[in-house]
Amino acid sequence: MAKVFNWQINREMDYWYKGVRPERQFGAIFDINKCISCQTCTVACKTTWTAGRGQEYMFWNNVESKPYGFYPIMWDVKALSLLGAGEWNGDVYAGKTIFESAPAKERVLGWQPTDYDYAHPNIGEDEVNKAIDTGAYMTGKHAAWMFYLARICNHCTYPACLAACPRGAIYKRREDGIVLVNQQHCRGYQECVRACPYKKVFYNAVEGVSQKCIACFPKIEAGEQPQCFVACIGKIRMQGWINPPDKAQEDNPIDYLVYVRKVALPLFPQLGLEPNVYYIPPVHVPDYFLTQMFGPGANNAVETYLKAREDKTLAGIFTLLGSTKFTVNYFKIEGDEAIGYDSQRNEIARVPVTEPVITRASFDEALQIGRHNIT
Amino acid sequence: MRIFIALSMLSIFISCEKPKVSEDRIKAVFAEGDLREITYADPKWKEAFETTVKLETQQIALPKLEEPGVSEVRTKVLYNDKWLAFLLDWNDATQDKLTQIGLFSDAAAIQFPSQQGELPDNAMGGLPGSAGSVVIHQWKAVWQEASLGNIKGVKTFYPNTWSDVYIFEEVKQGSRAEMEKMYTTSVAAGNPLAHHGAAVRDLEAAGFGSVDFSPEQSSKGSGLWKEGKWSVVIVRPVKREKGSLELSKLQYMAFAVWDGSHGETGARKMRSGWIPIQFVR
Repeated sequence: MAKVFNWQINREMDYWYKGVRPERQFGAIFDINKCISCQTCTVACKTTWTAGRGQEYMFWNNVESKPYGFYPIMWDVKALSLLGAGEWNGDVYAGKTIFESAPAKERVLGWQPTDYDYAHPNIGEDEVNKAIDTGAYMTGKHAAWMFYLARICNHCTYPACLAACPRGAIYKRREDGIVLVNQQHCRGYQECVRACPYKKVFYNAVEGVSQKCIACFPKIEAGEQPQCFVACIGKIRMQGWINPPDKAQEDNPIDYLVYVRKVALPLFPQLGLEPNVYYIPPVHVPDYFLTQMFGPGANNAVETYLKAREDKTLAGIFTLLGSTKFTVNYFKIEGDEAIGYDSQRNEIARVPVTEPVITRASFDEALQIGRHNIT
Repeated sequence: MRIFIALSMLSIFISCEKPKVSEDRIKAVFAEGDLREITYADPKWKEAFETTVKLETQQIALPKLEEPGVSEVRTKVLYNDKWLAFLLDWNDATQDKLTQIGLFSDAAAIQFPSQQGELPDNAMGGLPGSAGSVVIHQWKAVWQEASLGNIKGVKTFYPNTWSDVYIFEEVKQGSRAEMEKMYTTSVAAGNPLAHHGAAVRDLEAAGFGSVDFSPEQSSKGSGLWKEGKWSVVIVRPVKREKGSLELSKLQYMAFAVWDGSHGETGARKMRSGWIPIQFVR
């Protein structure tokens, strides 16, 4: 085991390989508060990449309801149960990661799913955490709550799938940090399926190899965001690049949201993989659940997000989500507009920070017709 | 009446005929003819010595098996100037001939040093980087099923399932095969160890984690599971670019067996050290 620095748990940790960060790292923002679980992202991915034989059950992108939705079943509950409780001392994780708690005969602490675990991709959909009492009403944090969690491969800085593959058939691309299974070299041992705590590597029983989200790398190479990002009708996603914290750039929207405003957080940072999809936590969910899921910064992230409307920079970035098919490398707020730029700082999107609201009369005199929708 | 009893006793004796046993080394017996087509049912095997090879849990490289699997494999070897035929028998209560999520294939492999002379580490050559090289001939039940055309898509695993249309089946113009290949990435990438190809494949390794498809594919074989026992035949040429055997000298070989339903795959396996093999004439 080598020692590597994981900034998400703010300490050194053990990893199977020495730490080498890519030239740039695929990063993404998912605003959970805007997701309506329409599954358009799921379908976009499905029809693009997993329409082959043996891929019928695969959803490289899925959206599940929390707390009772899972794909595969109980993936997060099992990962956390295996790991056991771990304390945070401020922003330093004092517990063990899945690499540090690997059993003697394993490279990584993991569990092997079976086909049954994938048989109910919509289990728990729309279910709230408990029965709603008579007379209950919603304000602030909800007593009865649920939310939608859209998930793809996190293209982790320290991937468990990569660490677990005894053949070295999984690699992290130097040019963009995207994690891939070498389809020429894989022998279908399923060690990656067992190791990935997010369960985002899938075994193709027809072909005898494992397969996973490729972050639509042909599009990334062309400067475009992946299919599931551009298909998102809720505009919850933005793909860009995340720098290491010591090289954070304030005009990089991912860096700004993650490091400067700390409003976007990694999923289960305590597992130790340094995942690179960053979530804006749901504002109505109790702190204990968000802290378990997104780490100790979850409550502050919610507080910051709730005030975003009064903050032109934050509000501006959020309007850039889903406003361009191109990868957003940089941003700028100019007047009442947010502008997105590509890697050469060419303008790729310009949107109003606040959408103008136009109110129309409920009865159109010119057309002599009534309207239901007046704004 | 006495003649009838005597004949009955003789038939019982014949049916219970014990195999010739070699305990300290494998003794290969000369057999005429083309051994390439030999099966586990061939009467020639009755002339061969049987050696029971003890297997132990792979304990060198991670990951490892939690609990030991198949503890021994019974081995017979026939040979002539061109071919070597190996019969491997082992007890396995379950026939695992397909893989699925969390389910693995039964398999067996025999291993030889790539070159005559000093023996490399028996664990696939040893530590990567400083390892010797070995040649491996591996049989997998799932490869055999695939080679027989028995893996036909999702319905092989779930006969009553229903799936949306496959895009490549809707191709009206151009090559449907080319389109299907695009959606079969292991084929498109030219993966020689996926579920397409022969039941037995020749591999080379220079240290654990390095096993790969050999450019020289010359062995063949098949297996039969019956009443809790696998009988697998692997036939290979005496001479090959790597792993040639000098039959006039004592040679060495090693074994590995995987029990799929016991979670055995890759490094999670039962294996032997080098076993001497003598070619008797």
